[in-house]
Amino acid sequence: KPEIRTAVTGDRPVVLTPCRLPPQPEKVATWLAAKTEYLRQRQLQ
Amino acid sequence: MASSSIHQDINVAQIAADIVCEFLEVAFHQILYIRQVYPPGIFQRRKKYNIPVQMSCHPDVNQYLQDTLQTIRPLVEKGEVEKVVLNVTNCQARPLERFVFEVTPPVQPSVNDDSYLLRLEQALRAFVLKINVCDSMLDTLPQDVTFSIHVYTQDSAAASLEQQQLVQNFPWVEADSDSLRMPNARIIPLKTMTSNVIKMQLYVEEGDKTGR
Repeated sequence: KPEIRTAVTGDRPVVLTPCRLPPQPEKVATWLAAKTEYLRQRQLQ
Repeated sequence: MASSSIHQDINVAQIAADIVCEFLEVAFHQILYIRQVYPPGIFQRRKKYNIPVQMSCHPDVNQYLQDTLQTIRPLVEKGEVEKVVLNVTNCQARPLERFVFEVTPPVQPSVNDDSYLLRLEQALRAFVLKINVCDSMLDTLPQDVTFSIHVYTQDSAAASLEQQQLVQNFPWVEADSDSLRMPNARIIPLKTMTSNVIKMQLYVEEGDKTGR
């Protein structure tokens, strides 16, 4: 239980961060280019 | 009399947590747009707090921010979050800029003096507008930047976060000490607000961007 753990080890300040990383900007740029191309193709049809 | 009995049923901490998380989502999108972490093409103009804001339309970026905020929401509600920081980092995960949101629960939480939360909305609008103009106070970022989010809390809160696992497949770990260090940083205060619902302060820590 967290309460027991805190009582034993003490409550210290911590900095947490998500284990997962955010999407890479390069991948987002590729997604945007593909989306733009898809929309362009659809306009041509 | 009637309004005070209505207010008794309201859980101010819950409202405050909702407002803070909603605001942080808007602010994070705005920072990612302003600091050009992602291409401007993925952002669309939306209306929030009665002003135009830029929100991402990339599903993964949106999901990441939503998962992050959904996980920390219980901690915000219990007043266990001291700071939420959005770090703009270089490709080696070294922080270049840190947007620090210091959130403090008010001494006597209540909504009695701002029933419709209009003054709060006005204050949050000012925060967003400050983020919009902070670009001019900061140095240009290098080409390849990304971001990370840090939450300053207590060990006990971290343990409860581990136990709850509100969002599946979105675990949290203690941040690396290297990712917290930013030598010779200068602080740029942006905005402070005090109300009976939320007390919040926003400032930017800007480090050396030359890569030394």
